[in-house]
Amino acid sequence: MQTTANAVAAMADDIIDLTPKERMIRKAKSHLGFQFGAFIVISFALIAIFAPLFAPHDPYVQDLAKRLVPPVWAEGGSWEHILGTDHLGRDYLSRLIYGARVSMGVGFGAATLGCIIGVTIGLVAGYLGGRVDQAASFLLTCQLALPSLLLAMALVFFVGSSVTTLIVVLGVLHWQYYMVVTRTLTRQIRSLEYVSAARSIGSNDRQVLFYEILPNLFNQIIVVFSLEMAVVIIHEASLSFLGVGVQPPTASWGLMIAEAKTMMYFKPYLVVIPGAALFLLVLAVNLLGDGIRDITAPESRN
Amino acid sequence: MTALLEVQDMSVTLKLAEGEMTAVQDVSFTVDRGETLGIVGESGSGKSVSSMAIMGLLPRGTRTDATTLRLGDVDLLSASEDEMARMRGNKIAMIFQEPMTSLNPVYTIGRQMTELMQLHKGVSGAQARARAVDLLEKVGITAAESRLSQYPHQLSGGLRQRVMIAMMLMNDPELIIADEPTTALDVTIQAQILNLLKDLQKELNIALIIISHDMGVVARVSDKIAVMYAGQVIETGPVSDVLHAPVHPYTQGLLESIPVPGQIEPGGALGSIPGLVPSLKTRFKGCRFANRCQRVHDNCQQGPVALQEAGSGQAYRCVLTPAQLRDGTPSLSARDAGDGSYGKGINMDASPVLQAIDAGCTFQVKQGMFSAAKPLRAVDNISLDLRKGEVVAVVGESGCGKSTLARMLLGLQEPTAGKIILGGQDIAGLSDMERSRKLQSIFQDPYSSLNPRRTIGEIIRRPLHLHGVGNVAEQRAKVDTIMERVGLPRSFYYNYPNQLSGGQRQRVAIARALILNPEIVVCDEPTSALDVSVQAQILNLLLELRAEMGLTYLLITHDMAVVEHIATRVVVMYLGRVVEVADTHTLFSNPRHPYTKALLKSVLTPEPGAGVPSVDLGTAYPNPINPPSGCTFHPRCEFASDICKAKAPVLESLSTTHQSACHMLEEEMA
Repeated sequence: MQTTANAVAAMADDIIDLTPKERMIRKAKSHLGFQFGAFIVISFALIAIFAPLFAPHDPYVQDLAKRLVPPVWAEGGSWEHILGTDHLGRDYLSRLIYGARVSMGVGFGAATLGCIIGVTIGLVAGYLGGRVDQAASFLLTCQLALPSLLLAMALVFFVGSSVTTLIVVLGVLHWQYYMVVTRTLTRQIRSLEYVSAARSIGSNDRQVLFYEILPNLFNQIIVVFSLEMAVVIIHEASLSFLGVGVQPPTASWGLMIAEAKTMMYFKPYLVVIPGAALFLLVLAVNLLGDGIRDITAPESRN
Repeated sequence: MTALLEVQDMSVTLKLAEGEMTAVQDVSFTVDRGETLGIVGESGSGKSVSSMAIMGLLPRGTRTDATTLRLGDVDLLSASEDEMARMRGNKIAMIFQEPMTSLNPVYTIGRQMTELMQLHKGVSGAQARARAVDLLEKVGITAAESRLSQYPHQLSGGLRQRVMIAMMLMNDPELIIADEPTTALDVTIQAQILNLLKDLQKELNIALIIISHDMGVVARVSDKIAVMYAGQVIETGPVSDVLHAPVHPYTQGLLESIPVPGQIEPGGALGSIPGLVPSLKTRFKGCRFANRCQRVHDNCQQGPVALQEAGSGQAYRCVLTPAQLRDGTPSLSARDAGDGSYGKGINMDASPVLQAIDAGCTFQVKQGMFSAAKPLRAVDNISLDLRKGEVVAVVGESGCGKSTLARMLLGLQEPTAGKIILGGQDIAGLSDMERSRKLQSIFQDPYSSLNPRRTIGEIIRRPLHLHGVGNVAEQRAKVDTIMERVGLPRSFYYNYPNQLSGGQRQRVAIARALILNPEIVVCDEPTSALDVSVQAQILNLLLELRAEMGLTYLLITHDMAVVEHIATRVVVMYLGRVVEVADTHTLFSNPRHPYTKALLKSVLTPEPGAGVPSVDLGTAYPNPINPPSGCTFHPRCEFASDICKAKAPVLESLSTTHQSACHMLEEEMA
């Protein structure tokens, strides 16, 4: 009897009897990166959605008399314009708040669209292999050979620019990394025994793909997502800077940086403020991505 | 005179995120020139860490303490990193388990062999090459000169391991550490490599440490043995004393849990040690084996147990005296020892439940991007019947097509010729659902056969969900029942596979396969990834379940000892063809095909000092893409004659239960 008692005691030490959900909540509570990332992303999203409530001024009203007012902490700044004004005298904080709408919309929208396209192609190509895989790889090579910014410009130019167009065009042009990662991993997982096991208990291809393979790609897809989101936001900025993205006077962080470029050396805050916002968002998305990975992964990372 | 290598009270402490872990504690041994020490233990027993500590190859942040750690007159503990690097090249050499990955694929054999010598000894390129050729010949490689310009991928596993050994000899080492040197090799190659190591060691007067989980290997090549458990040496001494008269309950149990051909009646239960190897993160108070030991009593937890002398150099780590320990109390638990009646009362009738009829599977393999595809006959025209209640074992070395055959029988691989009949119907015409209700499988590697993202409960419940059996509550109840039946605690329901040990995972795989009440279970190497003491538990469980549920097993394996233990009929495969079929008893007592004989001969039972039987199969296993003409076995067969090269033999019936394909037998019969 003593042996069994010992064995049971030893087991009780190792095994925590919690449902996966309870365990996730427990892990989330002790994961600082996740909490910070989630806090920033959620607050930014709320600010973007309820921009009119938060913005102290109308972001489009120009007041040339008050152009280039420095932020409140600099000499000559005032509480009326906490973050100062731009070269047309528009309140910078209000533009930043309204800009969050475009930047986050484009960032999340395009990254999600690219994710759906890339993961689908990657899963199918990796799982089926053979000719389908060759065709998908050919498509990938073509896409990589094209200068994507030029292509985006051309597409936006033809369709006409709007935030929706930007999301669609950038999404369609940013699926390659998802596809490469998904395809390689799918090929590896396809040959593992748990896929054979799933088939031998009667799962069909669709069940194997969605129940066995896809959940195991989650970690890597999240990492690619957080990287791609940053790239897409920067791309939106480039397009806006080139005049085919968001049209002035609409505010976007990318456009704000672009407009301030000429004054970068005299009024650095014009670049630093939207840059810092962008940095904070990308950092938060990365932390959130890593956090979600750590929380949902069955293996406990240290 | 003092020994070449002296290790006294060595402990290795690893730093982990949650604190320190003592992977090896108070390990002592000595090895002299010309002497072989075998270190045996299950995974996680600290045997590899000990050897890495001697080599100074442990990662940063690891602390090695010892009262003595000395090779020749060099103190390995205080040696600087540079000195250690020089020692590793010149005096200590290590042979690793995986010859596929321990040679660098982008350099030629010659470059890898000579580089080390030129670096350490400062000899010219020509001198080094001459020595390399010399040594390659010594390890039995033909056309040694031309091998120097070959790349590792051009050589077979056995040849690579020979190259590895030759490479290690380049600088005349004094000590060779071989960490599982034959585990990754086929059984027929294993004997050759072990003999080679042994001969070289005698000839060159080298000290040899062989580390293995395989009692058979260690018993046959070592002079001294150290049995490790949970980071400690729990028994040590001359190999014949330890194996013939083991003192420690763990050693006793370990030896009894190894299936030895000819000792157990077929279908009888194997002895097994209950429980699991403890995690090294556990805080041990006293004896580390106590929670699995049948003789446990109050003194066991009273503090660390020291090594006790048991006479003639034998020592053990237990609180009891040798006389008390040898009183005949069984070292295995009563439940696990069973009553040996599993095989009885099973109704074997003659109707085949699963049949392969002239089944073949040919893959088209492209060797280069532009070369034409070549056919690879993985399975060539095999007919096989599986009758209700039977346990049919398919044996053969890697590359013989046994796994492809299993996949075909499971309906996961479509045969390119012939057909598979399941319960009277062609399997190709059955839906996934119909097929999986009758036919299930257990896979080899419990680490990759369970989806890491699903909980144990989800994994076992999945077949019920797919087949729409009952509602969630009923499914849950069924899962609970079967988990209890296969010996998994209910609390594992919400655990993920990575929190379980190998043996527990294999129990999960068994539960998943049996929850639909199938008729036939295909087991692909069900125990080859498990530790010896756990292997016996799983084999017993399979046998019990067969008796209870009236299952029919198809067992795919390379382990002849396991075959003899649980199979009723054996099919021997070689290069995609069946070379011999017989009931288990006949096959083991009267093997007729030369290949079967060689396979049986290569089984290493733990007999101290018996040496390794030389299995003379000449060349390596042929590449299945270019199979030899006629009888595919002829290049390796000592009896081969002209007819063997010209014509392939067919399966001849020697008796109602025995068939073999060999020209010699045809002549005999004529």
